[in-house]
Amino acid sequence: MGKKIICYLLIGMIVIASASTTMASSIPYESYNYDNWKNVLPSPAAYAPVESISGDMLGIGNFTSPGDMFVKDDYIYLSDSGKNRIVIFDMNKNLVRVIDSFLNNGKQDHFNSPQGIFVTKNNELYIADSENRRVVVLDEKDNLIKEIKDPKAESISEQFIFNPMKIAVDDADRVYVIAKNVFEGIMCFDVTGDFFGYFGTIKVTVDPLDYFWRILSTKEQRAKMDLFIPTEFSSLDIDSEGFIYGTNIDMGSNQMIKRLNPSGNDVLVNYNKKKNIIGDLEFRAVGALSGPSVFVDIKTREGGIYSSLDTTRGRVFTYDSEGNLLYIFGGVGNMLGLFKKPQAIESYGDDILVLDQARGEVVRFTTTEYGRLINKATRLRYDGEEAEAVAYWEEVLKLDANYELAYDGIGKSLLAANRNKEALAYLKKSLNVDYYSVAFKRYRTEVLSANLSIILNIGLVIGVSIGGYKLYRKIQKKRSEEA
Amino acid sequence: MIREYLRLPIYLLGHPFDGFYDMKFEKKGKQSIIFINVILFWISYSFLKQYSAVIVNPRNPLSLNSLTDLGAIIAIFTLWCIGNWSITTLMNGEGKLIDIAMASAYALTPMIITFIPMSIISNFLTATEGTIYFLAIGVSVVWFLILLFIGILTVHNYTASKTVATIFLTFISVLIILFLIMLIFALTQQVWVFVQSVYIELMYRN
Repeated sequence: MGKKIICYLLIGMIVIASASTTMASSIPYESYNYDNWKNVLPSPAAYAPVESISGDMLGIGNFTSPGDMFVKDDYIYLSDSGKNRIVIFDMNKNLVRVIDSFLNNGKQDHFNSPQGIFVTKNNELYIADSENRRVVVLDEKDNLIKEIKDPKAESISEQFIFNPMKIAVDDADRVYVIAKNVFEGIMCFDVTGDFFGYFGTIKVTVDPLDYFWRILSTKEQRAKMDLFIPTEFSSLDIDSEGFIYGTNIDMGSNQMIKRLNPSGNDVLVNYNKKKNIIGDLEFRAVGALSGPSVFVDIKTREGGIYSSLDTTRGRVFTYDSEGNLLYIFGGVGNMLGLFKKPQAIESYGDDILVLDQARGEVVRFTTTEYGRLINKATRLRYDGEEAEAVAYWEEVLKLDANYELAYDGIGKSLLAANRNKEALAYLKKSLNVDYYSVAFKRYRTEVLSANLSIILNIGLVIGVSIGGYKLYRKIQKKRSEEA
Repeated sequence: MIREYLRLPIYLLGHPFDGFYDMKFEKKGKQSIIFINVILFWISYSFLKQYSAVIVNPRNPLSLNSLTDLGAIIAIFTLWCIGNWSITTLMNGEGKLIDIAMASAYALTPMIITFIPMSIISNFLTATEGTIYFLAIGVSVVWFLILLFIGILTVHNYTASKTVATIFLTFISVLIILFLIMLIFALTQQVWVFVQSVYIELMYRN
């Protein structure tokens, strides 16, 4: 009897094990997240690869080292840098049109290594035409609206070559450009295309050790050393509120993403000071796929969520508006869903598209049940609907009992409902010390006020008995002295 | 019996100079206190790490191991005593190894007294009140350092500046001891590998 049960159990286990391996094989990367002690915890995959779109599929020949893409409505605008053209196609892999020339003052004009691309609400196309040293603005029918070139200002030297790489446009048609060899920040242009200043300059941080060596070294040595110059931005995006998100390649800094307000100050929120917004918190120092994450592109999404693309290990890191790492997916390799040299990231609804520059492909990812629940719950929380989010967090916990944000979300909503004792259990698991402390204070007051009469009575009994004992000793002492 | 064990440590807390003098020169110190206090300190230290409230204790419970703590405490205590002894014998210190160990063990008392009660109290504190916890722990550690300093000073009959110098040299001698231990490990391993390979060689010869 007992043997039979064990037999069935074993068969069941084998079935489950084989089922899980076949499921895992469709997702080529291992998903994980970091707990509060920066330990890597395995987690279910939040996104799964669906398909890859190449130029061949569209019937226009392969993309050659494409530099950037942009998604607007159902269309993907891709700047095919190597072939000097802009390709527009829709989500169903139907080619819409290819722009390889346009009329400029009655003459045919061409692109030369176009990089960044941005499409405004009015479907105006902004293209960073990098080797032609200009930004080209085209309307819906590919007619030239304007060109932005030769920025003039006192701070810009005569020899400066304007090579725009990435571009973003805000609602007031101000143009934000990241150009090659510009360390002062993001270049801003007004509606007429005139340069009016730099934006969001990254402060220089000097390593004390470097500074020490610099003091010791001679003038000749000093001339050969690297200058202390600010780091460049690698990419930018504009969120729905008009804030500019920029990624910078600043090794060793504790924040590689910046959220810039209109005056150019960084206002990115990160409540969890233990976990910096730097992509991977743990990584190998030497060997293959080593070193810190390098963000090459960023996409702001609905509900304060933003995803950033790490080119070192080909991973997409997604954070919420409070700086919590929601999920990580992707990797380096040859299978569908892994990248050779990821270059740009875009979103389409809940789906994520990643442009692989080396392979000339756009890979589309869609949410799994796990990712869908996290996105939904995070958005509800962003909108202040914490109580509604609880149901989703509970579902998330069924799939991943290690997901600290879910405990946090449930705990906070319980706290808001004044169910302090239950909130304590959840907030302890999420290690949110501040909220735990608030819940604990309330719970302590509850217990004390509920048992006040008992506590006072016990105190009274103890006080009376001590007093009585002392009195008794005194009397005894007196008696013995008298005797 | 218990009272005898408690009297000196408690007297020491308030009167370190007299206490350590009594310990060494009036022969009031008990040698068993070395064992007792080190074990008690281990228990209270591990208790502190394990049972302090989450609010004041960000440690990962999975990383806690009381046996590792015990090993570390015994290793550090032994290294400290031997390091200090090896320096002070050369610098006209009057204390024997047993006196140094006793003084160091007695100095642990403030931490033994505070750690367990504070870890229990911390479970009734909020984040802002957590300052009480850190203050108490901090005070007990500082108190321990003061006691240790006075203990070494009294046991060896040193001046304050000479004590500072010997404590500094103690750290250096500890480093030398560690270096030697590592060296011995590396060398014995080499010898062992040699013996092993000779043995294997002989085995294959037949």
